[in-house]
Amino acid sequence: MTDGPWLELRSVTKSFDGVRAVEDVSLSIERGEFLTLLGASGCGKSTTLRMIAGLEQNDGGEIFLAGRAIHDLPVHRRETAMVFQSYALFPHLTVEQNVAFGLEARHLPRATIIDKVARAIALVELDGFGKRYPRQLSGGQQQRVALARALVTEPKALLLDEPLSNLDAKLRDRLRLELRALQKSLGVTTIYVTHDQSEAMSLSDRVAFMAGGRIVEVGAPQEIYRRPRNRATADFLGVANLIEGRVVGFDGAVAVVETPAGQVLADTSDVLAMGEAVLVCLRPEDMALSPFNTEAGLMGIVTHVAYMGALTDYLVQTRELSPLRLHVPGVPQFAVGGKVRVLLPKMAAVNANPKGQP
Amino acid sequence: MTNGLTDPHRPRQSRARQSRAPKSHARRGRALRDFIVNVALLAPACGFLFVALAVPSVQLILVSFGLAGIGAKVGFTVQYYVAVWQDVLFTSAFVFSLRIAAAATLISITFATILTALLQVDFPGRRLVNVLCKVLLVVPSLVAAFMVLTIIGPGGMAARLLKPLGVIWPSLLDARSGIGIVLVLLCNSVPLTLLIVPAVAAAIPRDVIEAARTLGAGPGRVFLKIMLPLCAPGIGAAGMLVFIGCFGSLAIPSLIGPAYPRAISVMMTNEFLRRGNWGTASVVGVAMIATTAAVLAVYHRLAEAAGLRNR
Repeated sequence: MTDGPWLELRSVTKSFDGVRAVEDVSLSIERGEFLTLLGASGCGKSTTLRMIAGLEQNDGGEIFLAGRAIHDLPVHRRETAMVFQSYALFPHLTVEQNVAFGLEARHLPRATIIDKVARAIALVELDGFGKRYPRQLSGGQQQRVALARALVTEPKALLLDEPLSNLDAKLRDRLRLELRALQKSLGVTTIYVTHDQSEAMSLSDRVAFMAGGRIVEVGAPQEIYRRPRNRATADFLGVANLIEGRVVGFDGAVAVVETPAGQVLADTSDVLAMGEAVLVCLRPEDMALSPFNTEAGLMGIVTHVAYMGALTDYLVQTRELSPLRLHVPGVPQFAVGGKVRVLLPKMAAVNANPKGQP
Repeated sequence: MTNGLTDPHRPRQSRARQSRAPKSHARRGRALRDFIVNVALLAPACGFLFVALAVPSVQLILVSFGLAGIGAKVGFTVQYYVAVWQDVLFTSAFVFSLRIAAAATLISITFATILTALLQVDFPGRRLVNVLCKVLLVVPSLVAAFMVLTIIGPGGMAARLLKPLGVIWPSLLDARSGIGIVLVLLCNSVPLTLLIVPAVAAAIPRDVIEAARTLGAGPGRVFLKIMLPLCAPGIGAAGMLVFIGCFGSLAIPSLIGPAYPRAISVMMTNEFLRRGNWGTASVVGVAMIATTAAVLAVYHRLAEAAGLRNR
């Protein structure tokens, strides 16, 4: 048992041939928490995960798991388990043998192994598949086996490296729900690596956004989506219309920001000062379109319309701002070339880091 | 009642038959064209195999049965087979060759497997060890034999080192056990296996090995339970190549082998070069081909099973 965080990274760094891949990463994860390392390819998220697993040795910093320093331990002594994007099942072993592998490595009694393997296979709903070889399973089934194989060892931290990336969209959606339910029911501390922001948002208790080998921002999904504190986060998470503005006043505790499109109230956790240059982040779903003959809103011309099922994606060119992306529920109401008015939200995410330095 | 004029189906059927006929004709034409293209593409390789392998093999078999003989009366006979079967020199030569080939194969693949396991660990000089083990591959087998002779031969390095200690170095060169031959054969067979087995090990996906490690398996367990089974087809292939090479090896056994038993290749050469006994030599040749074919068949059965499992 530990009083502090369950998993803690302190100023961890890693270079490959002189190129810094991970730079001064510090992170605390509570027991049972589901944290996602989110970022574009090459941002250092997988390297960070691999350092926790011990598959890469950190050049500097410390890693603690359950109150014990693990950064100098060999991989097989770290008590973590990892699920890989490619599933990495052992092709010469059956499903049962794959799942039993970690337990056999721990020299558990045969009867215990048989019992645990059966329960793990049932947990991922693969009863009856125990005698099959990986090649006889579908991609989704193989990923379930990989998950069962990792979970059965009761790891202190479950590490998932883009485990759903190789699956088709529908299966990915289903497994995402199942994975979250499984993680919650077992209470296993989980670190998940992905570049898919919707995956990160839907699965995680917290998301750590990484860029350039550093952690840029950590927070609950809604928090970092609604109130990103950094341009890079706002840009990476969903679609963002970013407008430069300046604080011109305060309405109670809320700052008033002047933008080329008018005034908006700042929805931010940053402390803003009068006259400070800020970045306003307008999410496409927060804006609305109305017919041109109405009074309110910015005048604009629709330059692109894409029907996406539940919503319609518009690109509108206004005089005051660069083209705005809007997501309007339902079927297209306006055609390309049509004149419209764009209604801005009263309150918008504003951050005090307009240059976007991580 | 219907007839040809009133039956509404009749004309439709014939139209269908008419339209099917050109289609099937075109399909046959395409198939013939594909066949000709395939044959043309395969001809160089198949032609080479036919000339280099099939023709001599058929000739060998025919001669062994007294047909297509060289400088002998032609007529079907099994007398050469009977004579060889009853010849103790043949059975001893066959067993001797099997023994040295099996010993060289076992030692080579064991050494290669152990070294492959060691090469998984990052230690100083790892690359140097890897290169040194393969250096002998570029040394011709006769030169390798000479190098080994300077060490294990009478008056060689080993004998001279042990002499002051009062230890007499055993004569390994003409030993009936064939130990000298095996030692020289290893100079070429070990590097060959070291070329194949580590390459097969390197082809195992890295994340499979990493998954085993994160699941709590130490290096030994990872090697025994994951790498070794996945390398099995490669180890088998290396072993088969070594076995076939050593079983048919002529130069080394004729240079440093004992007078009795002789290697089967030496016996075969003696039969046709010295005695001009082409029939007996052919039977020995057929026995050698049959043995290597049997080894190949066993390997393929095992590799197929392992390959299917590992896919």
